[in-house]
Amino acid sequence: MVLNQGSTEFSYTVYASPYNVTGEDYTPVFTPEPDAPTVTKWFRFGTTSSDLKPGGQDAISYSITVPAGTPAGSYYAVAFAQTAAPKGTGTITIQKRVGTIFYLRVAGPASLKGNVVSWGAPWLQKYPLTATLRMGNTGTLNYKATVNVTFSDIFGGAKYRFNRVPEILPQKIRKIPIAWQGGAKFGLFKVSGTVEYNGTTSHLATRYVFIASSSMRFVTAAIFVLFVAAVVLMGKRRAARK
Amino acid sequence: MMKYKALKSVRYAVLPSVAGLLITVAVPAVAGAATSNTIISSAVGSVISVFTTNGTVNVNVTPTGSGAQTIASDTVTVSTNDSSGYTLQLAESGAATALTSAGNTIPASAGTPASPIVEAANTWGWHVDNIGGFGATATTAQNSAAIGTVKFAAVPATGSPYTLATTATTASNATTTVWYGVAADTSQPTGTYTNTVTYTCTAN
Repeated sequence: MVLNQGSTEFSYTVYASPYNVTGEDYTPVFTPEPDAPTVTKWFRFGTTSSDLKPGGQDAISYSITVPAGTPAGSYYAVAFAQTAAPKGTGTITIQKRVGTIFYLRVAGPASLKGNVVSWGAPWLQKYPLTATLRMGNTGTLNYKATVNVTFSDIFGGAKYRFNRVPEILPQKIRKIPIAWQGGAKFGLFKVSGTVEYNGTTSHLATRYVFIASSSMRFVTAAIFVLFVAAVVLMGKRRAARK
Repeated sequence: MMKYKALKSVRYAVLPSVAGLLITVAVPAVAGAATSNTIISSAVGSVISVFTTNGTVNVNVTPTGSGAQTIASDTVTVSTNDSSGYTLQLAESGAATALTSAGNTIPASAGTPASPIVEAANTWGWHVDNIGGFGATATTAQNSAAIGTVKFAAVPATGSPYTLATTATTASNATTTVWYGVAADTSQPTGTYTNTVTYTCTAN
């Protein structure tokens, strides 16, 4: 569905592009991979270009036809709706395109394999409290990983729950940052959770995190040192009295 | 503003209609009841919208002998209900990287997002505070002023977009300000120089 919620009419085109990712942050790439099938040719759109008045909306029909003999496995593409550059003068003219990712699976023998590559949260942090989960995929099919993480105080009281269901692509590792935005800026907390994928549930071990700004760390350290010094001093005085 | 909505499967289940119900009561009176559960299911589609302040950014400059610079901004606003967030990227729309006017050009800055540079006269580029190597100093607009110390980079090629912003959660009117700068001296032929860039937004 393409909507125009602006105040001026625009022209747009609809087309498919290849889709892949680079890096563990999954930065999208829309150029074809070498030796990869041209998945964009599988797509047919009912409308490939049109004009849309303000307040208008167009429902774009599409079909995906997989060529016979396509090997089993996962294939990816993005369907873009792109505005035409506006007419008129201007040094820089802007085109905008919004895309929806298609995760296609061709039936047949293929492997679905995932794993938790790493899970961790540095024990000493500044705001916001952050943990990182890295999920791997050594198979030939993409899968969804349901991530549920809870940030709790040291008494177990849940303070923030994080939930996300990212796609993990074959032969890629995806880094999933888990941040407690708007959370505490000082204190000792626990982070734990689960990740469900491919019928498996992995428990993410509890991590203890002390969160404090640089100045609060100094204050905390100073209080601790004073406390230790007081204990030592008191011990010496007690020994002296004896 | 352009909005793109991807409708995933939307399924609704409705309660079965109940026709007239006849209860036969015999002695001893026993009332029976049966219940069944129906799950109402609805998949909410992912919607992502992106729009800019204008479809064009004017970076008009009146050159001087030593070089004058104009810096103007475009604000990109993104909203999405996708819980994985979005990625916003910038790239050239075509093969041209220079601002062109008839047969004249203003080449792109030699800077890159990782290593942007102060603009030389007769170059143009882009800048976003707090990403890449652009620095955290807040950029402000200027009009035909002396070339300043703001660093710029060439707009990436079509096949190598640069990520301006990415989120890991839903977004409501999240803004990214993109600055465009043009520096010119009196050796640059007069004209209306233009280039077209593309913002790409996808759900994560």
